[in-house]
Amino acid sequence: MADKIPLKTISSLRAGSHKAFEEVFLLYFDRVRIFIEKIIRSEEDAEELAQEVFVKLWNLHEKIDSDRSFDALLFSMSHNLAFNYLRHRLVHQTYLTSLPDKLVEESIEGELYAKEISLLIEMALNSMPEQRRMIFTLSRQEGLSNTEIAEKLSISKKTVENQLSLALKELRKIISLFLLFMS
Amino acid sequence: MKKNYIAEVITGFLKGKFPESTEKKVQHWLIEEKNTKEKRAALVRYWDSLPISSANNKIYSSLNSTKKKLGMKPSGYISFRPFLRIAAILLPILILSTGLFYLYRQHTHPLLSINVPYGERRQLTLPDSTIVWLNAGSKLSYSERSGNSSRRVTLEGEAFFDVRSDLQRPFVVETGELAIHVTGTRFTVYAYPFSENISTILSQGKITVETQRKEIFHLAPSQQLLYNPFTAIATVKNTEAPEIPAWIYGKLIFEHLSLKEIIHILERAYDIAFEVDINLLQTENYVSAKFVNQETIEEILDVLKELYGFEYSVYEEKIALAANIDN
Repeated sequence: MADKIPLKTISSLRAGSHKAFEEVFLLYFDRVRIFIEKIIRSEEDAEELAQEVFVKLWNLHEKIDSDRSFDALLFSMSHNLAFNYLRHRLVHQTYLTSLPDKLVEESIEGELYAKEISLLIEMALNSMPEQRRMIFTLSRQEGLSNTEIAEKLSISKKTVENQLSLALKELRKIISLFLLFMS
Repeated sequence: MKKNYIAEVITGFLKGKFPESTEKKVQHWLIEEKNTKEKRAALVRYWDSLPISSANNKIYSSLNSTKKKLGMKPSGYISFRPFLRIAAILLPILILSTGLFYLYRQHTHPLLSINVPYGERRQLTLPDSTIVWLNAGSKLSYSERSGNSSRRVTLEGEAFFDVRSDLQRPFVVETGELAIHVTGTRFTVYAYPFSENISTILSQGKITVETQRKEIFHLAPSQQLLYNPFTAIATVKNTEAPEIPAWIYGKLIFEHLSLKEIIHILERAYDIAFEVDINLLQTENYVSAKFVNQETIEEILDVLKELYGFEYSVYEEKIALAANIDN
């Protein structure tokens, strides 16, 4: 994490210069805001939190350590605010993990990463074209045969086969060997 | 072969767009106290990939509202080093394009724009004799002479339009997200930047609203279109459309609004800055209230503090809101 800000600016900031604060703000605000937004997925709250980062930065400006990376400081502050926000927001929502943690911990690598793999599959499925995702879901999760799917969606069996093989290829690429347990 | 699934999940998540249920799952996984080192390392890589910005207008408005929170003076000009470098490049371009603009301008109609400061409201008559009332903190741009083909205005903020009927030349209100097409009618548009919902309420006649995704909605009187700029979802519902909206008379009517939205409205109506405890903004508490007797800001806050459970203190130029610990 290389700093993009002259050391002089940081020392002026530590000394309480409004101008240095402004300079830092204009350079870093978008980075902080986008970073937070991608994590929390709310444009509006990300704007508020990003401003909060800079409010906090100003409140501790006297304590900025010039021997440590300023970039890393901003990263930590943004990271912590975003994670705290998620903790607050998610804590009240009941969430059932698809796999119990104990099962995951004591096993071979494939199962060790079972949760990560299931997230990767879910994300990959959601990035597929609508039809392909639908065909894959009908086939693997609802257990329909290719002929049944073709009838249900009024498409040819050939299309079903093609789309299925594309979907599997895509997933296989992401999770290499571990897909097989699904079929 | 050992694959780093953790980095993959993080990169996939940060770069992609997913349904809310998937986002929630990943977020839950993200804040779990497990593999925190690997997660952090992947986040650092993403952080490093984000651009260090060159300032734009949006950042300036963020800067000024942050400065407001800190009690610093707002800044209106650019005065520091990185920008001198950019200015050195941009200035010749600027001079050239200004020249071109003046040439171009002789063949077209110049745009006029009206900015209404916080704490004020304005009424104006457009060249086609359409009447517009603008609420505090709004901006309207329009062409000086009414052109031949269509009448177009751009709005940022809240306005009530009484449009002069002209079937030949449709009147179009554009916000960042919506285009509202009318011929002759009365309606309100609410489209402040960063508001949770953009809305238009029809009082009389009919209007057609086009969203960014080119979806078309036809509104009948007493219908309201609500558009969420974050999800790009538009919904139409029946409502009570007043003949003239209450804010024109300085009345404040909040219908099912979050504290954040209400604070934005109060900031504009009273030209006062708020400093709000972030925890207060995270509660999902929607409230309806009416203030129709030109109440002072304190009178309003005395009512709202019971509804939302906060305490407030007034400084010289700002009001601080903190969560009420008893609640």
